Amino acid sequence: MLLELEAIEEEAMTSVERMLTAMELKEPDRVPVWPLIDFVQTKYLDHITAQDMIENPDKAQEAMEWIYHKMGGFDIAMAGGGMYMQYVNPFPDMFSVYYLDWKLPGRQLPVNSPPQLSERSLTNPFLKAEDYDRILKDGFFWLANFNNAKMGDMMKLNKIAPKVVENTIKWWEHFKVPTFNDGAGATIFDLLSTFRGSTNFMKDIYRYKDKIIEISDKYTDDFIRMGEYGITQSQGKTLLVGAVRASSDFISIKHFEELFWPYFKKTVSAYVKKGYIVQMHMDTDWTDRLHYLLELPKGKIYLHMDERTDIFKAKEILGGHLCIEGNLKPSLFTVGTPNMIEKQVKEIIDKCADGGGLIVGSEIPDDAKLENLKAMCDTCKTYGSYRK
Amino acid sequence: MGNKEDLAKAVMDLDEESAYELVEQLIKDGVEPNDIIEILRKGVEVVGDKFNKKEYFLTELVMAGEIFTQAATILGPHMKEAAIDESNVESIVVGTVQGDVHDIGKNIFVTLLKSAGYNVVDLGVDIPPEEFVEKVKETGAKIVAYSGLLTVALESMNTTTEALKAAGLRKNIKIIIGGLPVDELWMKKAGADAFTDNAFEGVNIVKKWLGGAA
Repeated sequence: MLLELEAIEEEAMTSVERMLTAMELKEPDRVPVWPLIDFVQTKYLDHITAQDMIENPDKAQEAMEWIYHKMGGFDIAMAGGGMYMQYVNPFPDMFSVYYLDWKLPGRQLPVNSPPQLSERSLTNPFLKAEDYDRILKDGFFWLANFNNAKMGDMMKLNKIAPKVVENTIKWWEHFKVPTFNDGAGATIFDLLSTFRGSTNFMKDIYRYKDKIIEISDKYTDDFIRMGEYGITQSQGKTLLVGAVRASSDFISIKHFEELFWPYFKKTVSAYVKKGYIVQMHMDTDWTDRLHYLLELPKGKIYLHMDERTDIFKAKEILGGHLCIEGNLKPSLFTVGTPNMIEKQVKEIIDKCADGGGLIVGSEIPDDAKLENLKAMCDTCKTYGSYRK
Repeated sequence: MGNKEDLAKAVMDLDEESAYELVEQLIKDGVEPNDIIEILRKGVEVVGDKFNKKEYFLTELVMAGEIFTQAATILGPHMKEAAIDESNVESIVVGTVQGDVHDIGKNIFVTLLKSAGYNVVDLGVDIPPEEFVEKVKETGAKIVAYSGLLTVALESMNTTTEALKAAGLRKNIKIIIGGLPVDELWMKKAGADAFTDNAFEGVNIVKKWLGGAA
């Protein structure tokens, strides 16, 4: 099926130029807009399911191009097929179906349900406390299982990867829009917390702190290399580094310093040094520890934050050091109105746009209203202009 | 006896081993198990206060809850029948609503509720409305807590409330919703009485509804 696509109005800069300018902490033509889109298209396109979005790179690409045009353009996109790489990841990763109990559309879930992770932490964690010793001895690969996905899914990566390469190139060179999440890295801290379940892991922090440190010391270099795996497959440029569970919503500064920060810093710095564009995806509330991020390389990184972190504080502390991105509340796109969105976008622009280094964005829920998403894009294009 | 203060301090400092040793010692010294429970609860309260002041974080709350639970297990065999009669402990029915399997926040909420002494019926994740209805009937719970992360959970929360209404149970219960995205708008749409994105605050709301500690 060929979809009718709306025309994109030409602007003073391409999205690639705009995004890189913002990353380098200079003022682009206008504030870039970064909607982190997962499956919302499936609500509006009858012929594309959530399962297609993961398993069919052509349809996933078609869906991303459709919404890109529907919005009159935005400044970041995900290459069709990228999600397959994310979920069918042979390495120990928190999105890998081989390591965690991910339920996927068309498999364990209806074809149009987005993937969901059941943590099972209180009853039956994936990783038992006594397994820390085995990890120290044998690494992580023995934890892999083939219950949710089969060996054939892994073989299929060879067919998907070239499509992802093609789609990545199309975004960068044809649409001149940077891609998101061409590969992903994470810390051992977040991975162990996911494997153990957050409640169990919080107890482990008191009971097995030395082991968590020992594992992090031993395997962080391996994890840095594993993070590059996606990039080698997609041949993209951007590397997402996720961090959720070391924020003030979970742990103290003392634990943050002991168990998370040195390894996170090492990981992000290594990727910058290798020349990747690093997208730090930091959900939950990091406000009280934002100043640590000043230790990271300047002008080379995007910091995504959700509404729990105070973006105005982030501008105050990190403005002039790294590009901040955020932080509308995702559910606002479902239950809110265009006026509500516009008001929030304007407030973020008013307080954070000066001097560049700002991207307005949010994760878009799968049942978002398109007029709300459009309101965010439009407000950035008009009100967000630097050339008034 | 200095041991009582030591026990309170061990809980406040999250010193697990010392806490259990001191509980054993106090039992040997003939201290009433109920008094020991009281000391433990005070210690947990101090941890809660420190959490409110941002001196402690969720990890410390969870750990304090764990110490309380384990210490209560040690005390169990020494408690008089009446003291462990659960029939007068309020039940709270908790679950992640249909269509959503996220359980991190719910698990933390359950852990904190248990350490506050409530009888928690944790239904798990992806729970259809009828299962909530059934459990409320069975337990006579006065409080029902829905958890959800995805926006699809909002619809399910509403359906669950409607089901509780249809079963004639709504007027007897209070409903609290929890999860990262929930806010006043969600609460209204879900037909709930309270909302929180913070497990600790959620427990305080429950306590207020039930009139102080369990």
